[in-house]
Amino acid sequence: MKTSPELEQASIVFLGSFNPAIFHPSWFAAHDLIPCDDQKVPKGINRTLVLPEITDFSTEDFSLQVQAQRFALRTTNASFYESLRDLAYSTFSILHHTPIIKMGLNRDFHFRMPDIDAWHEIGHRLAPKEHWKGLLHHPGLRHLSMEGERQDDYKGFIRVIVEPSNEIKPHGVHIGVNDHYEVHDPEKNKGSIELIEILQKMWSKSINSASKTAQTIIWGEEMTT
Amino acid sequence: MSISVQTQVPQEEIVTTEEHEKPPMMLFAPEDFEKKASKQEGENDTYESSLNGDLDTVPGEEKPRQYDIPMILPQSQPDPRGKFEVLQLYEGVVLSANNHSMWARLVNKTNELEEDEEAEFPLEEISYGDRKLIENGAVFYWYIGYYDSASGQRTRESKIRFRRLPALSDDVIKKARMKAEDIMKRFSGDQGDAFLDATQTDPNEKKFVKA
Repeated sequence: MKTSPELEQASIVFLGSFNPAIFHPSWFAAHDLIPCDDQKVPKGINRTLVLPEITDFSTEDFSLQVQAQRFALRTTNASFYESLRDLAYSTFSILHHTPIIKMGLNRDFHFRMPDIDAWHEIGHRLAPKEHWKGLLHHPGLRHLSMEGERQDDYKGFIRVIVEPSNEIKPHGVHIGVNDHYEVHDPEKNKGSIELIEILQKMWSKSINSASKTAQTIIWGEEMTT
Repeated sequence: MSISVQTQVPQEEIVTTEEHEKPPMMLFAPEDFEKKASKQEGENDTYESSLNGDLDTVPGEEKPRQYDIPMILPQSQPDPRGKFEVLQLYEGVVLSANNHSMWARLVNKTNELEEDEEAEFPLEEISYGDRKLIENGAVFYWYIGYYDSASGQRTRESKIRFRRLPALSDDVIKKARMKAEDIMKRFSGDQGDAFLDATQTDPNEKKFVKA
């Protein structure tokens, strides 16, 4: 029986130059980007760590971590996927002078295979063992990383990894899809607009495409191009 | 729950937009590998995985691509209470609202071939934090799906989330107006100017994003 992934995550990662201390929950509340009360006090913040070097906080819907060169926003709640894009887009619409040079639209899927045979079948299909005969004793797929060129006009690549799941046991498979974008000319890039416009345009397509990729890898049908 | 914080992160190490931070623990293939791997967890990490390596190439590249070493600190997790499986997603636009309910036009994002619909939503369906966002033209997402609780209980749920976008800047509004004027002139000639004159907005109106 084909099942949906038992765990899913979507994340948006920006690489550039950030001031972590700005990204305090109160800043988001002040701009009405997250739920807050009438006094603009954010609601539902589970834990907040805000230092000059790092900001890290989470709500029931998303978590955010910002370091000097990395901004990572993630959610495991499928009913927050569209809002995750809005949150990232809105943040850097306001902070549009923030230099961002790379962006990852990421999906992670953890599938529980029905039995050990189905679990092994994925490893056999993606990494046939006959090529390893005489080289390794009992070879097995521990981590597979494949990278493909983009088929659109953007600069970047799409990378897919397959490995046994740490989260789902037994017979769990983790598939990660990194839909990676880079600014056209890093030397001339002056802010975040180029990449957040790509985010706005490509997010829905990206998360749907990643889902299709994962399902195809797991069930071996309808190979995506 | 504690979290480790590393404040001195070498700049060249934070260069990946991937979010895959957990090392693999189990192996595919021989039937007894699953058991072996779980016993040997942490014992075989003497080889840098291909994520860090320099052997991969991509089509069209003669030289191996040098991947940078990911440096990802442990990130706090969203509250993992359960899992929501989306069955249907609509994007809605508020057409009108009063103290009790709102009317909205709905676009089926799960099957975009379906015709748009209109529906009335009691305000009780909207979370308190989102009610102040209700106004004509406001955009929201309506999710219908299964919620699987941490204890395994499945319920059918409906969630409405309003889009939270920042106020448009004067510059953006000016550019949009110029673009609209250009389009109207191309298609309508003088009538386009008359139409624009009739639709000039109050400069003091709220500048929230509309549908």
